[in-house]
Amino acid sequence: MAGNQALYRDLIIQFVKKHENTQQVLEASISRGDYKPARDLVHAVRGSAGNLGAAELNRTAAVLEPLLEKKEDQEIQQALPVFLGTFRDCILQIQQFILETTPKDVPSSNGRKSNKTDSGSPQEPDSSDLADVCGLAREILDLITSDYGLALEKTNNLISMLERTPAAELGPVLQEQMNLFEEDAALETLRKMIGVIEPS
Amino acid sequence: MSSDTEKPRIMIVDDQTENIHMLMAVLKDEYAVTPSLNGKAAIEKQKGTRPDLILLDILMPDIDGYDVCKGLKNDVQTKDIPIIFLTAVSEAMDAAKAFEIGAVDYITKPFNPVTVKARIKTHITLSATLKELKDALDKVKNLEGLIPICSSCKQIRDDKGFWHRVEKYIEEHSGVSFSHGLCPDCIDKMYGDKEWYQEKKQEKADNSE
Repeated sequence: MAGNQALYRDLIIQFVKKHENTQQVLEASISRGDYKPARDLVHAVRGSAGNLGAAELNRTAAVLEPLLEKKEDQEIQQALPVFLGTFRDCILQIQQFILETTPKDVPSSNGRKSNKTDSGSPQEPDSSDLADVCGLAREILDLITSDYGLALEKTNNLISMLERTPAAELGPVLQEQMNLFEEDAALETLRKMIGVIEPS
Repeated sequence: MSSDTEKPRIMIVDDQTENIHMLMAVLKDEYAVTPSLNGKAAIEKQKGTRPDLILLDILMPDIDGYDVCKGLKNDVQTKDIPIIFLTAVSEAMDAAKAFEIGAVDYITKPFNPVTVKARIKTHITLSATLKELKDALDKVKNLEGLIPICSSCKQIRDDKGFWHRVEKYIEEHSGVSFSHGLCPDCIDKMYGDKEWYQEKKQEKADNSE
């Protein structure tokens, strides 16, 4: 993961979230003989597992995927429990890892700095802070279409700056949209954010 | 490449967000990355961003990577964008098909970040060099073909219908530069009626005798 532990943590969290219903959907598709969505699902798990370093899950998915493609009923019935067993183990291990790595131990991938005083109490942002927030939000608006990697990096900075501003609640919304590459929604949220902050 | 000062642009097309995040983490410092979660969106987005290279997943829900690639290769505006397929499918047949429809490379997941970066760099450099060669070839072809020239003022008409001074035209379409001077016939034509010139000319003739 190019040495980025925090990013890796964010990605495995996304993986677990995305595959919350995978087992049920997979079993339902196979039981009604609808192999195409089942194959696509296993293919998605396979690719992600490989890149996230879940070698065993990648291997069992690689066995099941071609069987679903060829609709080999009997062999699917043998390979499916093996795949699902590995899948569940993997999800459990990830959940365990997430629980063990508290935010205090693992910096978030955004490397955000807290908007707090030495005494620990949050500092009220002044008008120049708010202007900085708006400036950064505008910069991200431009970057989304031209350099998404940089836009994502700056979004993480923006969210840390949003604490105690009138637009604080839009931070997690924007973060989620950016992580899921929902560009139109993210652009809309940024405009909304600027609209909320600017009058104040 | 987009410009000398800008980072080269890469479009990543993959329906799995975590795959895009991983590639983005590897590439974001050296490249401006545009993500796309499906083939249809990728075809639309590339019109606005004009990527220098596309990393393209094969199995996607709407249009698969092969069709996206075919579409781009059939369009004169996008046919030269290098496309690297990035997929979990690793059968030899898929690789053959990818090259057949115009991909320049094929990388299987899980990928090695160092390899991905090296291959991207190679293909972007190759593509830029190829473009330079094509441009140079176009210019040479212009000089080799039939060039319309005004029989009176000797200006040359380019392929867009504009007229240029002959030396400007040749300089732009070749590696030649001109240094300006006057030939004896033109000096005579321009200064022949001037007394100082006639005297100088006579002096020169006397000296040579």
